[in-house]
Amino acid sequence: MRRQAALPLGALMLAASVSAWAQTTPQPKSGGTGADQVLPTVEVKASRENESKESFRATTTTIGKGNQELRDVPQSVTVITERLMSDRNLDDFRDVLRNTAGVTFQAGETGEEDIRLRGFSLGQAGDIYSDGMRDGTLYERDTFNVDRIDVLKGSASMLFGKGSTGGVVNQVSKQPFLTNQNEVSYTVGTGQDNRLTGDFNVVTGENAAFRLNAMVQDADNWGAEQKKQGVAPTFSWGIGTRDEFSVGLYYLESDGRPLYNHPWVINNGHIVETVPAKNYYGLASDHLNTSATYGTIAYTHRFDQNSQLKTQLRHGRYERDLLASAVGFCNGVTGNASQRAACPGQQIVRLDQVNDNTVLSRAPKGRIGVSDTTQLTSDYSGNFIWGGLKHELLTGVDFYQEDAKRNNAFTTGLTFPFTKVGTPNDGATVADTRGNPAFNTFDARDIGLYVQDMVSIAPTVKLLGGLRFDRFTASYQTPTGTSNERSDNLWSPRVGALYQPSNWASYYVSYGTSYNTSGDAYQFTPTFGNDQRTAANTPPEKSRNFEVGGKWDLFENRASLGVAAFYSEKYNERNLDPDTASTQQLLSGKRHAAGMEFNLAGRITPKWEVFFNHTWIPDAKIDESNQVLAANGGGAQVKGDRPGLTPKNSGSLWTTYLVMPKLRLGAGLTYRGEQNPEGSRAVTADSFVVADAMAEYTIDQTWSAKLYVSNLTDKLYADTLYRGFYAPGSPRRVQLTLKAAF
Amino acid sequence: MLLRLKNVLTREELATARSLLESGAQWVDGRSSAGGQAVARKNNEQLAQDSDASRRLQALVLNAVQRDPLFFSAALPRKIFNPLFNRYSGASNHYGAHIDGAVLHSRNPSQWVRTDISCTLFLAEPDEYDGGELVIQDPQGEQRIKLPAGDLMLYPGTTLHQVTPVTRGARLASFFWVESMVRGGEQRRLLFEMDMALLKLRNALGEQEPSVVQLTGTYHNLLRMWADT
Repeated sequence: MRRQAALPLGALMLAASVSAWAQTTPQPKSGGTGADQVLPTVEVKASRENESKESFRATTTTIGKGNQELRDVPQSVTVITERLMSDRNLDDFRDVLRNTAGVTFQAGETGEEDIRLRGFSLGQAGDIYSDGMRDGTLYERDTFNVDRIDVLKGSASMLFGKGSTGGVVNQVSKQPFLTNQNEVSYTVGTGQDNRLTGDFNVVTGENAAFRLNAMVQDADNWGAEQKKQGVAPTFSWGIGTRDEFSVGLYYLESDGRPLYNHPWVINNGHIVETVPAKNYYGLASDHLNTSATYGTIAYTHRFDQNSQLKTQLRHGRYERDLLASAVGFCNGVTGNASQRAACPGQQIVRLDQVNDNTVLSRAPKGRIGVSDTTQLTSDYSGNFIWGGLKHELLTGVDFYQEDAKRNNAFTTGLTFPFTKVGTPNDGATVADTRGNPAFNTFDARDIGLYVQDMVSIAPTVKLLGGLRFDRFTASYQTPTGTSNERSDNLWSPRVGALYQPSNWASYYVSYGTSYNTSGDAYQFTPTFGNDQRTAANTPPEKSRNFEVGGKWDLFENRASLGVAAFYSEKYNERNLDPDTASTQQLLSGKRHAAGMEFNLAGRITPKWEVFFNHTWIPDAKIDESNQVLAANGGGAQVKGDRPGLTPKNSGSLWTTYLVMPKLRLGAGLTYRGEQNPEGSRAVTADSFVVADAMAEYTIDQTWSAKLYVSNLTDKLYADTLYRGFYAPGSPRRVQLTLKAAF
Repeated sequence: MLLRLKNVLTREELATARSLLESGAQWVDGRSSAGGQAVARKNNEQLAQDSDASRRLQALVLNAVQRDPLFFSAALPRKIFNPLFNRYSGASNHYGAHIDGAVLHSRNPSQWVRTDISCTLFLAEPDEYDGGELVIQDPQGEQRIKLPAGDLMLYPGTTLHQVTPVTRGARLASFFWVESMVRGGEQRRLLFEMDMALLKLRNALGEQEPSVVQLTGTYHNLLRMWADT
């Protein structure tokens, strides 16, 4: 029951005394008494440009193309607003996803590639977007220019083309708006972390504005250094008018050393973490240098009655150069000759064997890649009456061209020295003698055409139908000149129905499909000859997603709740797991994940804000596989197993309370249930809960100070998993932020 | 100030209204309610005021606007004219440019109402008829308005307005006037804008925030200065 609605003062004053005007007393609604009559909530939406800065809750999204009310999207969507990112210091894109239910991470890939949603890979197929366009893989993303991040869960190839088995993640860039507003923020934290960001929006004309976001960060991180700098200027004119234009540039560079992994010991099948999370055992000469540079031109033409045509053109270059140390316990018993010489007799199988003198081996891991992409999207969204029914039409075309070069195992001739547990960050260096990398090249083009119509067949019922066609063409070439070509014609349907009995409730069912072209997963290994398993010339893998759910506006329309049940199934016949970059045959044919999603965001009371999301996957199984069970019962997952990186429960809670007009306190929990690494059925990582806390003090209209402590208990846990090692979650960090808004 | 209020009528109320208007309603020549100058420009049909259907519809509409907080905030009503109902179709299909009479007599309850604010509540969907736009001469220019059934348009009674000819189907609407406690349109507009801004602040900061309390007081004091009861 929605009572005590926030009412305009004029209404509060007069509502009680009005019935004298009506000749008859108002009839109570059926099923209620007169006393039950509730004044409807008046929702005065904050202007859109401020919504993300002011609330954990978003009411509209662009993830379904066009601009839609979240209640009109028949799928689970989790929106992480700028306010949430700012509250929790979520500077790194992966940190944002770490606080999103259903997301897990494969270790060892160091880039952004192996993030999973509902157990399905996100990054490999290019499911990470920026402003509705494919974001380049390879680089270390930062949130300094991000207004909000939309996570759409479940298959959505109808909207996005290839990919999207588990869902897609869209980063929405900050856009100029028609108010002068500036923000500068400086954070100092443990690990000698210094970060300065600026967000400047300047009105330059009647309908024109310029926005500049910039960031510089320098963190020591106890050895796993990271230096980042980014700048993103955007100029828009004709804002809010019939014809709106925008020109923007984006540059982000990140140089550092990755903490590639830590070794584990196994106790009764469970991963036991061995060394403190902050210990860095890589070389001083290790590096992970990435960059992204792109320019965007956008044009929006608005027709009458909420119809618009938005066209965007973007060209960008994305680069990565990684040379890292994969760290393991030196095995002086069964290891190779150099290991036996370096640590004679050492064989670590229990935690109590690990001490400062335990010898660690370092194996070089090198990856290098460059991608040049050009993208054009043109989306029309319009409302019209046709045949007496209201239609919301979405149609468009997108074009994508990627020229990529990769070498994913570039370590020729390198040998890394051993070290000891007691000497983290030992300063050792190795000269890079690799020379020029030999590249696999990959040129891909995709053109997609889509149309979707949402028809209101009754005031409360909407039917949704959509279809997309893609033509995907790719050519592959190895350094030795072996080449291959492939093209696919693909149809992606989507259907759904929405029942919206009131302006605060929406119920839906939906069905959508998705596919992964093999060129994405194996683009850089066009193998031929006897072993066709890893050949790029394989038909696309297909998936489908069923979902039923409801979305409600609660607490006088201050918060949104979404609950959904889903069934995601990957059902293609390809006997390969495209979710892993290995050439090993891991999975086959079919697997599924079924469960529920819960999302709550907004204010419970004006002072109490909550962001909560939870994914519960009680049922996930590999239904068909030709993986043979290893003789010792270990090895990779086989038919009947639960897929790796698919915990039953995962969730995140963040809540703040304005305890005094100037003091806001916050606390959060992030939870992930136990899970197996991909490719290691007998090894389990324990569940973990990480607690964070915040205190923010508003000094005056301009200044505010915030103290944030992440991982309060300094919990040591396996955050990202690979089949032989893990990388720990961040140790306890204390960050102090001083912010000026003017 | 022109203001559109969405979904003033619920779907059920709209259905009830439509069935009352369509099943044996007594339609009379609209010129019966027009003043001397307007008679020449008015060409529509109106629901007989004393009919049973009319009385039930009036209660329904008054009940609906009474529920609508935005209506209160924008109109600050002192008296509301008993709602009337009209139909533009066939040969009776338009109402030329006119200004509503300054003071009109409302039958239920019997009282004189100064027409500070005009209201049009659309009862037919826009696709049910062609033409029939409410055209308002605003200082900013001409506004052409055609709203979904159930939505209400609120505009100053001082404006010159018209309904363009309906060339297909039937345009059904309810219309009435409000005498506001705040006579001046500019003052009403300022109060409305302040009220809306305060609503945002109250939602964001809570009712107890001292600056919110102070501003709320200012709103009431302005109302005290300008309102007649």
